[in-house]
Amino acid sequence: MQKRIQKTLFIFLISFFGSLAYAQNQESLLVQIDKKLSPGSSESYKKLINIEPDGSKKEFLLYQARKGNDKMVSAFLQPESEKGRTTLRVGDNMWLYLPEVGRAIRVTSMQSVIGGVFNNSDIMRLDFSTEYEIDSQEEKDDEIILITKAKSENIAYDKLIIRVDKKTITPKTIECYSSTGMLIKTLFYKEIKDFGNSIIRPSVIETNSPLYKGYKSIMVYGKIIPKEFSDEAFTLENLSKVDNLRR
Amino acid sequence: MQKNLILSLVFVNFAYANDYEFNFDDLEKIQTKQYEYSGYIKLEQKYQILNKSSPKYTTKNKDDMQSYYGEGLLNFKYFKDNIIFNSEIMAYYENIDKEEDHNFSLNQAFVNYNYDVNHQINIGKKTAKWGKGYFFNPVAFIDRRKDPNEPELTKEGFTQINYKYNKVYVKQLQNFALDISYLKTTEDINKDLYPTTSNILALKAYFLYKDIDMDFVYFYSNKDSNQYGFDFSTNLETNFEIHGEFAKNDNNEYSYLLGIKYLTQSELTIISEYFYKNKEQEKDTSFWDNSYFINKFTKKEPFDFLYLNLYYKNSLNLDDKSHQNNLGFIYTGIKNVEIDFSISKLLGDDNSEFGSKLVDRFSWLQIKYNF
Repeated sequence: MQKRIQKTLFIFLISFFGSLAYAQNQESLLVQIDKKLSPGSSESYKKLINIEPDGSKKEFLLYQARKGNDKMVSAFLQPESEKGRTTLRVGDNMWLYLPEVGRAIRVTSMQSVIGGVFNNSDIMRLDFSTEYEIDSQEEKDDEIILITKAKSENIAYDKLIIRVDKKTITPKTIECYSSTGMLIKTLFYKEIKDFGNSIIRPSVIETNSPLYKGYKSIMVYGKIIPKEFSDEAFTLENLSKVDNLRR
Repeated sequence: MQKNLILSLVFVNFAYANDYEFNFDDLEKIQTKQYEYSGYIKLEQKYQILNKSSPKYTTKNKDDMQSYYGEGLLNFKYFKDNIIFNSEIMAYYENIDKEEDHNFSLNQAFVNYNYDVNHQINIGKKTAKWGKGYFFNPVAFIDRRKDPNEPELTKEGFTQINYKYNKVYVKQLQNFALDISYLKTTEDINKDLYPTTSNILALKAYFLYKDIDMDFVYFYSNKDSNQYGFDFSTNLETNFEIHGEFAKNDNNEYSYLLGIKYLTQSELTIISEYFYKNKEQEKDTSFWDNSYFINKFTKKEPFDFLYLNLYYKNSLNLDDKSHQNNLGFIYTGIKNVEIDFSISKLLGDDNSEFGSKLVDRFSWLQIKYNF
């Protein structure tokens, strides 16, 4: 009897710690992807391009600064019509500053400040591990398929299916689903580039959406530089002066 | 046929190859300069059909009238170490039914000194832009009064000495900021705040507490009545924001607003605001009555029409049930150009606010070029 109890206890402990280790391993894969995509505190320059079905394009040039896993600001540098527009994200809170309004207004992650397929959540993306947890994981040839679930209802997409390149531990494609199971868009990560400072990651994110048939949006990273910022750089008070962080 | 296909494939690949790269032009654009400037030129045309039952109709005695308006704005900044010189100048010309007017104004001209990340001082003419409302701002004690028809037009600031304190915390109180302004009024300076000599102290304390933006505001004047109030804004859901403002003065006059912003899955943005003030204003000012309910619906990119926003706005006077309706679109598909066109209709009894206006309905076109 005692042996049986010992055996049951042993099996229970093995399976408990085994599942704990498995969960940690799964969790660490999202953390690993985050580390590959962006250093904790950094500044970056991005080009956003909306391409219409007839081939016509509109380009935006964006400066971004981030700190830790919950703070980010963006400032449009080009075109002139968008210049001075800045966006702040602190956790799930997001604000937009418009020079013509002169103050910050709260915006949602599902909105798009530029039009096109990318919304605020795509442009102001924080770490995957901050917003999502892994539901299931499957290895297939040279990729790992992760099915992730949003940690809260405030996240733009309820579910992500991430195809991760085994070699580089960076995403190849991400399918973004709503809470009703509708595919909102697919993000394609392309063109692995060495940005220096051990940052080797896809330099291009391309997206299309069944909601915008024939339209395509591209995000191109020009520079990613590790840089420290004060916490106060990520406040409403500083939102009209984000551009000064570049100086 | 095959040759064309190959050529087009080569072209597409070439085009995308360029899109995928950050070229030298892009790098040139990201260089910072000692000075920066930006601005716009905008032209407006309004065609108005007059209201024959309006008491003001006898001043015109015709069916319709045309108005033209042109405005230019230049914003200039100069950077030197921790000091930024900011300025904004604006000039306009208007022709309302052949009556011409023009003006030039210095909207802002102030020096900003950043002592460190927590402390900064601003000296000069600047706007404060207090409040959370889209169409009304009862707590905007040191800003010019907002016109709900054109809420962005309060561009001219007041001359002041301003100190700002800003601090981030890692607790439930995530951010605290203090804003203190001293303003002197005379017959020449800040006369829109008070017409003769007076001293004003205005204070705003901002808190980001548990994902709620909150401001407590206070206005002290040694000649005029003191004012105090608060505002807030927060997201109940990721697509559902609520905001509000309350302001009161020593003479028991008070006003408040409650508003929401809601984004539907089909990207229809709804902004609704209820506004109440217990004291009516002069009838020649816009929105002079006690209570209003304003709703604006904006549909982003309908029928996959990129950069096009359709909107409908209804401004309802709850006291006399008269209202103004605007239906229009904004198109931003041309580089640096914004086209805004709307048609409007005013409805109400002959003696109501909107029913008694000189204009019955109008079309409005604005073309804005940013540089």
